[in-house]
Amino acid sequence: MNTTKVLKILTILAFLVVAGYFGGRYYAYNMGKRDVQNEEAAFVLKAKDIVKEFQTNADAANKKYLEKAVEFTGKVSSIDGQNVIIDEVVTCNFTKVPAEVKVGTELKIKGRVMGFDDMFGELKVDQSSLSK
Amino acid sequence: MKKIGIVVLLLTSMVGFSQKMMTRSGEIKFDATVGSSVDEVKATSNTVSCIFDKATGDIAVQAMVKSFKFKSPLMEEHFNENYMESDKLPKTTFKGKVVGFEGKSGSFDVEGDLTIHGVTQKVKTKMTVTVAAGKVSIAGNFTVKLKDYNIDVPALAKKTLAETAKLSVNLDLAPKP
Repeated sequence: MNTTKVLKILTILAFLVVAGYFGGRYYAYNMGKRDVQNEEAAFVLKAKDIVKEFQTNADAANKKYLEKAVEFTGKVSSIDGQNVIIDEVVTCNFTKVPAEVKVGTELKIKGRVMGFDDMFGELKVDQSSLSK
Repeated sequence: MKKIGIVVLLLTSMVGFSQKMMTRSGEIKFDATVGSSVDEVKATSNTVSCIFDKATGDIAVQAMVKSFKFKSPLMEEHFNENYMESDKLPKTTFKGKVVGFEGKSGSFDVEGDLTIHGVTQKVKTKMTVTVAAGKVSIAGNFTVKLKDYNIDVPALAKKTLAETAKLSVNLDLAPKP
């Protein structure tokens, strides 16, 4: 084995290590994004019912629902920017509110539960999508 | 006579309502990047709730910890699970007053109780209040020491996570319907 060959192998090895390091880092930092839309809902319930649970026992409800994908049924009571409010008690944040969502429509929305806003008396949900 | 009474009642209740300004889509940006680090520790929430009373200057703000979006899902997970414990303590709140507010634009001291990670501290900071066309916006920057809110930065994380976080707040409020 001559020195040029050894050098070549070393260069390739060094390159692989560096590429692996940055690739791995990139993967760790940017992958693993959650896709709530394609998750099975952990709970399916009426907007009013889940809010009752948060009002009666916040700690228990936090444990049960936070971070979960939940499907809410109810009527759109108002639309505020990117937020669709169901039955005046659940606020679903959309990246873009679908055109078919109008005040008064009965619908099902799936999203991730973030927590209960006791100032507005509304449960906050993000990563929302319409369920068929 | 009865009719006049009802009209007066309606009018006064309307005036009462129009003093309250609100938003569900306020913005808070958070930055705890260490100057020398290549990793940005930055997040934004665009679903901050706020109610502001124009008559008294009383202000209340609520933000869900889980609503803070990072570029990196891994960082977001660490933020929620290791530092903020958002499954147990889902909210960050502020209750206070815009001192000396009399319905006009200007720079004001905002003081009150800031609760982060279940710990409440008295804070005071300058905010800019802009009143225009029936709307009010409140904006400003301040810093918080993570230690003050029982958030420990482990030695290993000190290279990427600053011990003081910069927060910038931007609330565009409209009359409460």
